[in-house]
Amino acid sequence: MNRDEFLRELSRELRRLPRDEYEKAMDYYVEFFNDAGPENEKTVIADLGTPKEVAAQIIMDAAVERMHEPPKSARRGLGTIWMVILGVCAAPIALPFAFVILMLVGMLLLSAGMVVLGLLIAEAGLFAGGVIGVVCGIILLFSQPASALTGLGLGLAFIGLSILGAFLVCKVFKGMIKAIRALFQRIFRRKKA
Amino acid sequence: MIYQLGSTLTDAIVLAIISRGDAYGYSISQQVKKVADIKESTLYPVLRRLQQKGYLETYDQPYQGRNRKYYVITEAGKQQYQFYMEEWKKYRMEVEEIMMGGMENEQG
Repeated sequence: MNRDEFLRELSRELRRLPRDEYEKAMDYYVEFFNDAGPENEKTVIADLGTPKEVAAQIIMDAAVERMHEPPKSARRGLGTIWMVILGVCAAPIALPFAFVILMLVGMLLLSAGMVVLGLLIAEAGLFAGGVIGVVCGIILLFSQPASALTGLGLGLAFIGLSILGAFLVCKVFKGMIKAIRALFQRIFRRKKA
Repeated sequence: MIYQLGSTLTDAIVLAIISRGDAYGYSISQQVKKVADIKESTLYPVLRRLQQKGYLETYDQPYQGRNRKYYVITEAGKQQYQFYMEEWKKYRMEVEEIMMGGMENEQG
């Protein structure tokens, strides 16, 4: 393997890192080769190890770091989980362990998704019921005022509840992402020490 | 060296090297290699981490028609380096007391 092959492979391994992280790491290694000079190219490559190993360390480090920052939003939480998946795939640990972790991430995300989906369907039902109640209430307002007003009232109440529910769904979703994140923090803290 | 360098000691050594004068990646790695058998690939994460913690800053300087990134130690970095040094002295004394105790200690 020569310098160009090494850098090309490193670039491929690092491509999923955030843009600035990727660029900094690549700049560093390009400069490193330049400073070492062509006469030391072979030694440098031998000392560095494979591009995969080099990339694994950078990715693991970035992932661990992100987990120690307080989560700002669910999106950032998801970003961290993604980084952890990358880190696990890149890490030189036994394949079975990586497999178990991947399955665990998959299952946790799947169950979180299912819970949210269920809540969303309930939400939609509540909202649709509310709209139907209001519409029927308006149509029947003059022919059957008593039931119409009941329908109208219930319909509005349903719509109101569904709006409150939407906030609840968001909260539940964020909470779950945070909990999954905390779980991985625990797993990886031990590795870091 | 058969004794392994933990990440704290690596941080301390890198800070020490840069505290003696601005240095670029390859030169730092050559100096670290003299004292410790760490892989080159561990140096980049160390430099990155020290920057993130605000102990190091960088600037670019043209060199033979390309850019070279120099690392500079910050005030916080100097303080951290002092702290590492104090801790190292304590640690070294404790280790020596156990490893060489009785050999050098005449009143014991």
